Amino acid sequence: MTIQANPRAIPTGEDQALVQRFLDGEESAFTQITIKYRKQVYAVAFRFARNHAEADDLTQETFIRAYKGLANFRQEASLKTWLLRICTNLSINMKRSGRISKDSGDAVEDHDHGDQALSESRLLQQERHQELYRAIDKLPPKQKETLLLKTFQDMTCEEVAKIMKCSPGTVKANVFNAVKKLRSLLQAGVSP
Amino acid sequence: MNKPTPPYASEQEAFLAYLDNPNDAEARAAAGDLVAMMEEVDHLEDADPGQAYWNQFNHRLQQRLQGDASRPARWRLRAWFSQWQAPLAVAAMVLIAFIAWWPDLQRRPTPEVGQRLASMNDQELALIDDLFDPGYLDGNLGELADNDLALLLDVYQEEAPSLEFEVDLPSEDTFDSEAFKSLWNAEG
Repeated sequence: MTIQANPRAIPTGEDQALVQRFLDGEESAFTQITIKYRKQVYAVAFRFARNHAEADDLTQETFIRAYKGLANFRQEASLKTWLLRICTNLSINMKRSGRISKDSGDAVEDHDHGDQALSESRLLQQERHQELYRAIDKLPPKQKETLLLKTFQDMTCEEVAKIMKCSPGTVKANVFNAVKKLRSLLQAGVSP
Repeated sequence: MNKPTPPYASEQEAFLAYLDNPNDAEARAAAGDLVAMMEEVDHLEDADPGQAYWNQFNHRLQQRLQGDASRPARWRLRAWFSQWQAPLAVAAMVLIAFIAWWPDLQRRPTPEVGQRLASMNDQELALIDDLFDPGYLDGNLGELADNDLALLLDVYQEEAPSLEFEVDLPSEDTFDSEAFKSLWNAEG
């Protein structure tokens, strides 16, 4: 598991320093990278997969790819963007190849709340979320992927554009069309 | 007096401005419905499977990384083979086709032998057929290998007189030994 250092990667920030330490052979630097970004990677994976088992698999796979590919990380984008791009690509590929089920219903809330009775307002909120997810599932793939990323932790259009490998203008157009279509789908009532 | 122009001519323009700057109050107001929709999607739960899961996460990741590194050679061989699967399959098919056609290619008579066969009458051809193993040829001279056929034609030319004589002999089914003895005595 020897990884050659990339001479073009010049460490300037905390992430770059971690990357450089890892490329210099310090395995614990990768553990620190994992701890720093694993929750965000998982959250993106969950947005696409919408069930814990597949989100977990995607998160693990993302860090395995990152481990193997860190030597090729050009540091043109931030480490976070790079990791989220890996996760997004994996999610999209798995979704398109049918390896991610549409909605297994294995929602992560089940782990958090256990057998606790849900309040009426929470039930209503969950119903609304389900309706929203069903509407999102009906969007064209590009619009859906762009919207899920853009609404994730206040990502900027530029960050999403880097992940989706398109222009910020395309991101904006996709988000606009996605939201407009969502609105009409929800107004018409989304069938399950 | 000029009427103040609205800051955004359309809902789309306002929404795009909101995407650039979510704090733009006028953009938010002008694209109210779409912004509300967007924020609803924004507030979909950011899943967190809990601390117990995260406590195990790095350990599991480490195990998978080590598993990948110590993957047995047969997996690497399989990965290599899968890359070359299509070219190897084509090469194997060409080889099988060649092996299947090779005997046919060898047996095909040359034009010279073909001409010699064409110049022979039916009786001569029947004699050549009799000379060869009938079970193998089954009357089909085209099945003979070129060398075999050339040799057979040479033998035929040498043996033709005696063969023609034997043709006149009675067949085995109607063979009469007494008649043969009298014929033998008469011919000397």
